[in-house]
Amino acid sequence: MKILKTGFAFLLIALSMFSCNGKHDEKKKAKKMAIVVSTLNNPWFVFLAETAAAKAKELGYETKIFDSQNNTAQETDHFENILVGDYCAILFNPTDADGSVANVKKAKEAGVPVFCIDREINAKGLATSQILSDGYSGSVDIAKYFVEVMNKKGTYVELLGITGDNNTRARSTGFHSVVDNYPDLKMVAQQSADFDRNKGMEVMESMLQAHPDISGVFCGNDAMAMGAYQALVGAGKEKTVKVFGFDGADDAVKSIKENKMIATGMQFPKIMAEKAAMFADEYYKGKRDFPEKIPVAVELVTAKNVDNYMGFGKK
Amino acid sequence: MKKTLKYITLVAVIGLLGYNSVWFKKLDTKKETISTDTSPVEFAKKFWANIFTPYLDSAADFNQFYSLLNTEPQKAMDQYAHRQGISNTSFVLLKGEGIVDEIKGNETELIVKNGAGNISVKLNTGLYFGNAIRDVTGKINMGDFNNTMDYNAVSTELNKIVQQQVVVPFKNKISKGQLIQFIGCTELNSDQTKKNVVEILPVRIIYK
Repeated sequence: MKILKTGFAFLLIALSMFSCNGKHDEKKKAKKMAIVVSTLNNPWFVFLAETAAAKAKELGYETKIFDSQNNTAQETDHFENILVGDYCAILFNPTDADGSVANVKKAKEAGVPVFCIDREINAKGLATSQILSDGYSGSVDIAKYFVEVMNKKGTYVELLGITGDNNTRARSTGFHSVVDNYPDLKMVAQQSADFDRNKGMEVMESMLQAHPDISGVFCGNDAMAMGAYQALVGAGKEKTVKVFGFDGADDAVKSIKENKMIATGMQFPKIMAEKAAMFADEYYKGKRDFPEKIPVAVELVTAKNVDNYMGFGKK
Repeated sequence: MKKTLKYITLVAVIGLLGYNSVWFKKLDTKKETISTDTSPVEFAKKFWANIFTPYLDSAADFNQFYSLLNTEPQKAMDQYAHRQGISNTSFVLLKGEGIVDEIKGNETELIVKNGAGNISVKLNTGLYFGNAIRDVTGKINMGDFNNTMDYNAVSTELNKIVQQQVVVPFKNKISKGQLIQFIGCTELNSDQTKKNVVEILPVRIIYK
């Protein structure tokens, strides 16, 4: 009898060891998703956040949108509130590729899955999945068109986005991986305008004072491109300087139609935001196997194909 | 009776432990991998030598692929094309044979004989900036990299290798009327799988 008891005890210990795979320890959280977005001061990110929220609601979740105001400290505060707020997932547009890693790590430790949208964090194995715009390849396409319409020569300036954001680097390096092969295309100034329309206008105004003879400007997003265009109108140079943007924002698509801007890279915020909400829903229902990163292609929009597009996507 | 129960319990415990400690994997599913902790330059060199070059043997036959693409485009894409993430653009590795018809600045036109007639192929002999080399095998995964900058840099480095090792020597050697065998990457947009002119980035040329 003693042997029998010992045997069963062994069996129970072995069974309990293999059944403790973590899943049973997770407390089921409320059907609430947090949407943390880098800024709501840019229509593109407003669209991204609202689309994610709408999809999550359609899937049966309560949602709340948090605006980080391009500030990692603000983002950290949001995460702290979210992690005590019984949210089941975070749909996250990070402010800083490195600076946002700690927030995602905290969420992971608290058992809350994070799905990054559009912008990445520089870490593997922390976010459950990252659905990212392929800005580098999109900028390569813009640059090829830039070389063509500039006829491989002339001087130009570049407005960069937020320093520290991987999208800023991806767009700029993608652009230069092409344009720098043409020695008669010379960049005479490069400066950050933080992805902001007003700053884009201010930076362009000062660049025009120093370099009045430029014939092109590449901007890391459409908000800066619209600001740059305003500055060009102010200087009476809107017909001679070719403006290139990135994002596929509504006003940029209209500007291309009206021949004010030359091109933009159409990102697909709807696809990314909805995919993130769907992944979070699948996670809630028990799925755990997600691709670490998914690139979403960016398409070149010019006067030739602009009728196929609308703000933030394809018609 | 006691002894039987003892043995059954022992076998059950050993079985459970054994089942969860050992697993088997088919040899053909074992992938050759390169650490993404190395620099993009090193990664590209290793990928080109150890993965991409052996993969050239599995290139699809040019004529077979285009016949299938015309009749069953979805099947052709599913069978031969690779793409990364959510995109309309796919890449296919093709091998074929053709006669050099025209040599222009950044492209060489070939006439490839096909059962239904001749097909005009443009071999890209200029600078290439896309992701064909990185993505055509389907063996490089964005998620394996710490950040997308390294992943993109790998593409740039692979393009440099092709430029130096294939495109420039080919440009220097080619002449009109020459018969060549080629292996190369073509880019297909899922909205436009039927093309009149096929553009290919050469990755290996054999002169006949």
